Amino acid sequence: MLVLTRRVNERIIIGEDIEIVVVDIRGEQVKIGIEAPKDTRVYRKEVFEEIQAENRRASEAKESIDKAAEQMARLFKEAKAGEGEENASDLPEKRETTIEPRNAVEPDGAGERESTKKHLEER
Amino acid sequence: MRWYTHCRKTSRYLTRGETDIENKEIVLVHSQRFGDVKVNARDVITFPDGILGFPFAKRFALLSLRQDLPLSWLQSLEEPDLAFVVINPKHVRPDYHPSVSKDDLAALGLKDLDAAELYALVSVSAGARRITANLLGPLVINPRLGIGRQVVSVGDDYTVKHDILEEWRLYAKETLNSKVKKKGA
Repeated sequence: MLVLTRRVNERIIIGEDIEIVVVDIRGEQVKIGIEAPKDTRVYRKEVFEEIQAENRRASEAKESIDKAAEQMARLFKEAKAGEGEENASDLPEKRETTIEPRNAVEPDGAGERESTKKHLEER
Repeated sequence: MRWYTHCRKTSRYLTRGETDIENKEIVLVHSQRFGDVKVNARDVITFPDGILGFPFAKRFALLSLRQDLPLSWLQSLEEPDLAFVVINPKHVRPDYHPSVSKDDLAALGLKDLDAAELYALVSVSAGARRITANLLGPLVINPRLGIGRQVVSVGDDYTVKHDILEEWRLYAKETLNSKVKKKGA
């Protein structure tokens, strides 16, 4: 493993299009900004591993879904039983749905690099 | 808009393209469960990066699993043995709003999630008693381009094991309560 010493705001370049910058150092925490092409996927490793492991488990679901399906179907039917009712306002507010990303997204490419940088700094 | 109706509208678990005569290109899908299935080429979804942990599997077809459940069968075209059970996450949490990064959206050719289709991978454990959906790493699909990507929803409380049955029980209870209330009024 290559080990480099860097100070705040100093950068590392990997290949031609990936740059890593040390944004801040506080005690045991280091904030790192990453600039990479859009198709390079950047994750915290533990999140990546968690999803990978869950995907493996999910790939087994095909074996046991039939066993679960009857119970699911019954509950699903009960859950949507209120659908035929006239008064939709009876439904709790939080069940209202619209599909919108929680974070506002700029329609053009502006700030794309920012986002990668930002989400790694969040925690 | 109502819960179920809305989900029906945003889901395509009833096989899409059944009445589509515009595009006649048909793909034969080999599936361990369903045997050989004919799928409209437009309904094949390509995941250029694969699904995390399954980088070799890039092309999938979404097949209907059961009419009485909002579940679909995401069948790999490369591997007849590889399939996932998926659910429209709005059926689990109607207020589901994953935070998808701009990079992910851009890679899918999307400006926002309005035109996207979302699916969560389903896991079954504890002898089929616990059925969970991965709401942290949803599949985001651009149906227009037929491409998808498993993304990580950033900065949310979503987990990889969100209890589906628990949500449905809660919803069933609320439905029942509102009915009782109405009767009493």
